[in-house]
Formats: sequence, C-alpha cells, structure tokens
Amino acid sequence: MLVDVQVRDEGDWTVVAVVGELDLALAPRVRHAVIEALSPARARSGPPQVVLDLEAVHFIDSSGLGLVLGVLRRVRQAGGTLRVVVVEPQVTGLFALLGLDTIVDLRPSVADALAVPAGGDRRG
Amino acid sequence: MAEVQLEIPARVDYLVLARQVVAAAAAIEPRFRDERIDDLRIAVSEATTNAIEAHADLSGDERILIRCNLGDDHIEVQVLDSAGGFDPDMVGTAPEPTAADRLDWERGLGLPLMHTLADETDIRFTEGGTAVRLVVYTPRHTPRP
Repeated sequence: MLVDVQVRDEGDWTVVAVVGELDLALAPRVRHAVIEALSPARARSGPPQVVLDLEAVHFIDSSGLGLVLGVLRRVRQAGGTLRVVVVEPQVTGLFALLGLDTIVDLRPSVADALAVPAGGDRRG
Repeated sequence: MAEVQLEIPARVDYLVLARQVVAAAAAIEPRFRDERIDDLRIAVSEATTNAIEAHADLSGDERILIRCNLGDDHIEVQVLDSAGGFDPDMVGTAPEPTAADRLDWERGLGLPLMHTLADETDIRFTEGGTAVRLVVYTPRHTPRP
C-alpha cells in the first residue's frame, strides 16, 4: 500500500499532503512532518498557515483524528491557521460523527483551502 | 457459523492487514452494506490499536489473535491480546467538541468509537490480557447517539 507524507509551499501556505490510511502507523510520520514544518528553522515570518491535505487518505481512525486535533492545537498556539482537506466519505463521516467538524476547518479541496486568505476563516 | 482467524505480530504495520481481513470476511455476506463494513473496520482498528499499544513496552514478539465469526445477519469479531490488560474505566471521557480543552484530547477517542460503531461491545480484561468482542449486524441494531 502506498504511504507518503510530503510538505510543500503554496504561496503563504505550507501544505502537508498525506497518502495512505491515517492510523497509529502513519500518524507519527505526519506529526513529525508538521512539527518540522512549524520549526523555527523552517517557519516563515508571521503565524503559520497550514493545509493538511487528506484528500488521498481513504481511512482514518481515532489515532488519525487525534493527530489532527494535535496539529490544530499546535497551529493555534502559534497564532496560525489550519485547514484540513477531506474527501473520502469514511473520513468526513468520522469527523462529523464525533462533532469534530465543528472545530476543524474542513475543506473539499486544496484549491478551496487556499482560495480564502487566513483570517477569513470559518474557524481559524 | 463460519470462522476466520488471523494472528498478527503486535506491531503497527499490521493494522492495515487486520482491517482488510475483517472487512473482507464481512463482505462475504452480501447484505452487509459498505457503511456497516466501514463501521466494523474502524471498530476493529480501535481494538487492535489498543492491543498493539498495550504490547508496546513488551518484547515485541507478542501476537494478537483476531477471530471472526460470520453469522447469517452479523459478524462477531474478537481481538485477543496477552499484554496484561487495561481498565477502560481509567480512560477519561473526552470533552464535548465545543469545550475549551477539547484540543488537549488527542487520545481517548477509540473506546467511544468502538461503542458507537459496533452494535455490541464487550471488553474483558484479566491478568493474562484483554479480550474485546465486537458485533456488527447487517442492519444497525443500536441507534447512533
């Protein structure tokens, strides 16, 4: 099974793209990539603006959801903005089931996530 | 009732296999809809994750047994480990999504998910390990909260 975590810059945003099933096996890799992206050595000036791209994640469980909450906490502590791209029904459904779609800014595509400047957020 | 058994090392890289085997076993019954198989995959993932984490401080040679019993209108899955057991009552309850401290809870979502997604959830722990029993019916038997 293809598993991958890639970090790239898109304008003012840092995009962390994940491929695979987001469980206890993959979550630590994603957490490490986000921490690296937010590290002082790599951080841009100003608050972090992060898109966590889970479009190619076709399964998520509580380990993956916990990861997303941890990333959101880190980004908010730094005064930044996090948007999470989810497409797969199993993934969007689990966010909704636990009510996490009310605190995580979910977007249907990276293009949508990047379209609105940070600060014009629904949930920041 | 047909039975399928899978024994895996207590390592995270076997989580995908555990989910795949259980989902494939459930799919033998054509009345299982994809939504119900997804519920089962998540619940099994949570139980197996707990078992793997329970083994984390041990030698790494331990194994987890996953036993599927296929009934006419349900599947019963047992996830058995030998890691000494844990007390689910000691796991706190995550705050509501709107609570100020919600983001401090990266963990603690697994047990609620198992209880929500499986129609029956039974966790037994002894000195020898933990046995989690999950039952999912082709039509849902318990309403989601």
